[in-house]
Amino acid sequence: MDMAVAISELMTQHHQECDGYFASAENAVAQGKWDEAAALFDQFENALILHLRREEDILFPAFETETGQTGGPTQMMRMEHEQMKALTQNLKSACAARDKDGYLGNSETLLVLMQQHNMKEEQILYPMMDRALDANADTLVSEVTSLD
Amino acid sequence: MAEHEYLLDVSQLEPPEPLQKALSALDELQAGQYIRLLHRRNPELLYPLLEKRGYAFHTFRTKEPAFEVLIWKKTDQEADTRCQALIKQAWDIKKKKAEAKDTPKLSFEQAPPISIPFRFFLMAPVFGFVAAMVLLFAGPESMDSRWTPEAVSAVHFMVLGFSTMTMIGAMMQILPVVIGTIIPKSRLVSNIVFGLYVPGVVFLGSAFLFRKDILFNSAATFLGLAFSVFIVVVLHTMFTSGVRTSASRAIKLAVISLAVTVAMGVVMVAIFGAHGGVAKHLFATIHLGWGLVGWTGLLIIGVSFQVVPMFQITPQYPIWIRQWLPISLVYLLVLWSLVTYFHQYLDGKNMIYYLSGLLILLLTGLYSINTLILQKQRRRKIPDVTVSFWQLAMVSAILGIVLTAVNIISPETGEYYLLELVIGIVVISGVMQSVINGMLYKIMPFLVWFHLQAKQTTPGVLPNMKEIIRGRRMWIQYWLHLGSITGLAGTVFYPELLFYPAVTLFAASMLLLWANMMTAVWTYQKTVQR
Repeated sequence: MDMAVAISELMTQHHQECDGYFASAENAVAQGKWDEAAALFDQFENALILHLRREEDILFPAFETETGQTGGPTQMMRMEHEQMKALTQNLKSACAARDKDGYLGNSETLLVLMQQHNMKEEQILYPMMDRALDANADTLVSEVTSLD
Repeated sequence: MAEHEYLLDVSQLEPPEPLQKALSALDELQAGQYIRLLHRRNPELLYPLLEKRGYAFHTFRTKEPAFEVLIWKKTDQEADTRCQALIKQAWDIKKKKAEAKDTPKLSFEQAPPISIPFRFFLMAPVFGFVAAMVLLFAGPESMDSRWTPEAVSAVHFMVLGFSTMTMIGAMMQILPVVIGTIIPKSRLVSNIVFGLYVPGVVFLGSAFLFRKDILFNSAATFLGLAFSVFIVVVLHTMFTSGVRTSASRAIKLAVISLAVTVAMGVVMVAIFGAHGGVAKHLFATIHLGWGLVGWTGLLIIGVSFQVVPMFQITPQYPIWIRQWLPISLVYLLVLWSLVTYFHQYLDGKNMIYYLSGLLILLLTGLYSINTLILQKQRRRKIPDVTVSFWQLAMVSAILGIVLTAVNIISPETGEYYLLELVIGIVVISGVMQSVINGMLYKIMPFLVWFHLQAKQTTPGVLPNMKEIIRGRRMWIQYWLHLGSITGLAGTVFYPELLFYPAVTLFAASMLLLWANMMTAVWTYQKTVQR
């Protein structure tokens, strides 16, 4: 790594990466290119699950230890992660069944859920993390990037 | 308190007196009693001695004197309970203080109850329909100029009854996402605002039609109160949240502009009542500038900083737009308002009048073009009715801006009445209604889904967003809406031919919007009952 990257910066970039995979998979489904869609969906799912693990396994516990808040914002974010995973499972089945309407209806729902969630993280939670975890930000960033 | 507490103040004494006093106090201690020792230094020499004699202690740092030490006998159960309670109490206070300091406060309370935004949303097309009826019953003459009683009435039913109605409901909803906190006592606030606002809109709309002072005064009272509560609560919540993003800044400025717009409206009622001449037109023009560019424009701009890049998956707005455009618009509005008001005393219009007006148009125009460019680069390519509504709004905005520029520069000929009407239609229906309409088709199905899954106790399949409001029905309403804007704008030039079909189309679009919204409500109720 060259320069130090802020946690918020890194995680926001990762959100956008996930968005990109999400849109590509959805476009392929809309065009009925199911083989391509299946591959793109896998890419999206992997990126999403990795992102959630980076938060739940590394960043959230560090934030909770540092601030003593365990029942607050991170708990709410974990709940929304579960909802996102459930919708992603719906997408997976729709993709396997080649059910276009089912996929697009669920992807619309997931997109709105995911983005209002990301907004809260990017606008509020990540900046708080940057401040609270300032001292060991570098270690956390390298832990996060090495997780796969 | 006093009986259990042995207060010993040694803060004024010189060593070794404090230590001696403390130790001799131990002998006087009765069962259930503890010592509160006030000291100006941390009595470190005392602690090992206490330890040796079987006493427990806890030290607080305080302001004056610097240290307070609780001392109690370890074996004394009663004293121990008391001291532990005191320690916990002090700890809680400290924690609360720390939390209060740790801005931004973050609760992420999910969302207010679904009935709060929905009551505002569902009223909006009703008032839109009323606006259509006002025009329809008055006939084509109602659109002779923008100053006819029916035109002014219909405009207020639209901007207050349709647009601002939805925007208030949406603000209650989006604050948790934008600043991480919910409006305090959201149910109470919403009941008060909604209860005052709806009759206020009815009073104002009818006041213009019937020209009665009592109606104007009731409107000013009801709307003034409703807006005061809303504005104070929202600004207070936003300013204390500590979150400062480009979106939240623009939204704050929008709410401040709303305050200016409302104040001007109330002042007009107070000064002129049902009458008034040229001065009233000047006030009205300034009122309109703050309402359209300030309140509506800045709110759309602020919301778009978040919504466009994230929900349509586009690149970000350039930094200069996010940082500087909203605040510049507010400064320009202030300048423009002053010259607009005072140029009646000057000979001819002065340079600042033209400059401030044109700069406002230039900035809003650049914003609109930028939004269209971003949407062109969107990664989510599938047809999306909300994106189409946004694009329609931005194209309308550019058209409205060009026409307004022509209106400002060109000398006032007989034709300018027509131009003003077209601008009004393009801005109110083309820009405001389109954005709101499009956003409703994302917000409402999502909220239904969101609240359903929060309520869900037994696992089962929930309807997805496209099953909550069907895509095809939304597209039909989009085309009705587009047809009605085009028709209404055409009515200005061919009133006899187009007036009735265009206004009917407008009413139909409102009805279908309402019906589409109701399918969301029905789906919600049906699923909850299941």
